[in-house]
Amino acid sequence: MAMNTRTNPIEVLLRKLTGLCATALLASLSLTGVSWAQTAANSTTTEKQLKPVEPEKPAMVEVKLEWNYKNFPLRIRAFELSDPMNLDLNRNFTVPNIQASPLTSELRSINVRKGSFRNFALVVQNDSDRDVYFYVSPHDMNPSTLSLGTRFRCLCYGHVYRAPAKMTWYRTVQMRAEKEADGSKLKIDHAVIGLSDKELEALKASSLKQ
Amino acid sequence: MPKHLFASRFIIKRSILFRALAVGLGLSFVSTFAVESAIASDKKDVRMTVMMEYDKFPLKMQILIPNKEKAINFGETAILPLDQPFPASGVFLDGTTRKTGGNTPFMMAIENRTDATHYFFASTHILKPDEAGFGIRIACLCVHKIFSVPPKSKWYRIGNINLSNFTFTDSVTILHRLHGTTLKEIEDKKMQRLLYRGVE
Repeated sequence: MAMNTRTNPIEVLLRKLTGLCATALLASLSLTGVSWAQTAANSTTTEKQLKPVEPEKPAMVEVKLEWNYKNFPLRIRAFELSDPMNLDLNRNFTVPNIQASPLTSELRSINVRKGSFRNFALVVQNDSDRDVYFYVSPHDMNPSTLSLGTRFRCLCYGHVYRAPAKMTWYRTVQMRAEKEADGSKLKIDHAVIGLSDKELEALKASSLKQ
Repeated sequence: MPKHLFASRFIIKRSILFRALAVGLGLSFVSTFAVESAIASDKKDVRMTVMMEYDKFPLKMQILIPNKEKAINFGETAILPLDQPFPASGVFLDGTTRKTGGNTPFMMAIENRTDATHYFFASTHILKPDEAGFGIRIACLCVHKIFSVPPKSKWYRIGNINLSNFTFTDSVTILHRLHGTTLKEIEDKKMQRLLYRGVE
C-alpha cells in the first residue's frame, strides 16, 4: 500500500510543467482575444483609411493580324513554331510543305505576356506554278496608343520577298510587349502588295545597274 | 634574224598592243559613261509630305529643313530657349520633291510658349500610298519613347527620309499621330522607364 501512495518525483515535475504550459496557452489566447476585440472595434476607422484598390493592368496583350492584299493571290498566316526560343529571328526559309517544317499549328491571334515576347512565323503557302514576289508596307497599329509599349519585328522592312512555286515560305518574327503596354487588345494592319511581271522586271533591271 | 628586223617587229607589236589598250580604255570609258547616264536617267522625282495628327496634344509640330551648314545628326534631339532660333534653313513644304537615291533630313520642331511641360509620344508612322512601303525608309520619332517639351522652350528632333534608287511610287505621305500625355498619367501607369533620356 505504501508503494502505491508514494508519488514519483518525475511525475510531479511533469504535472507541474503541464500546468505551466496550460496557463501560458490560456494567457496567450486571452491576449489574442483582446487584440481581436480591439481590431473589431477599430475596423470602422481602418476601412475609412483604406484606399480603393485600382484594378490591375491586364497581364496579356492579344494581337490580331490583319492583311490587306493588293495584287497578291496568296495569303499570309501566322504559325506557331516547334522550338520558338531557339531560332534565327527575322530570317526567311523555304520548305516543301508545312508537315516537313518546324511550323506546328496556325495562330488565330497572338497572346503576348506583358514584359515578355513571343516568337512565331509568318507563312505563305504557294501552291501555284509560279513564283510570287511581294513586299509589305509599314504596319498600322490600332489603337495607335499601344504603339508605345509594343514592338512587332515583322516583315515590313521595305524588302521584296519571293514565295517560290509549289513551296511554303516563312519568316521568323517576334511580337514584344513591354510591361508598360497600356491595353489588352491590339490590331495590326499590313498592306501586302504583289509585284506584277512589269514591276519585277523594272526592279531587276534597276538592281542590276546598282 | 637580223637585229634591226627583230627590233622593228617588236616596235610593231608594241604599237599594236598600245593601240588595243587605248581602244579598250576608250570603250570602257564610254561604256561606264553610258551606264552612269542610264542610272542617272532612271532617277525620278519623289514628292514627300510629312503630316502630323494630334491626340490630346495642345502644341503644334512644324516640319523644317535642318541647316546644312551645321553637322546633321539623324536622331539628334535637343531643347533650346525660346529666344534662340531653330537650326533650320526653312520650312519643309508639303510636296517637297527629291530625286531617288539619297537622304533627305528633316526637323520636327515644337515651340512651347506655355508655363507647363508637355509630354507626348508618336505612334508608328504610316506611309501612303501603300506602294511607298518599298524603297522609302524613315528615321523619325516613333521610337517607343515619351518626349517632353519643357515650359517656355523649343524642342526639335532630326529625322531622315531615305529614298533608295528604285521606288514603285513617285509620292509619299508620312503620317504620325502624336499622343499627348501628362506626368501624372505617366506616373499612374508606371511608364517612367519610357521617358526619353538620350539618343534613340
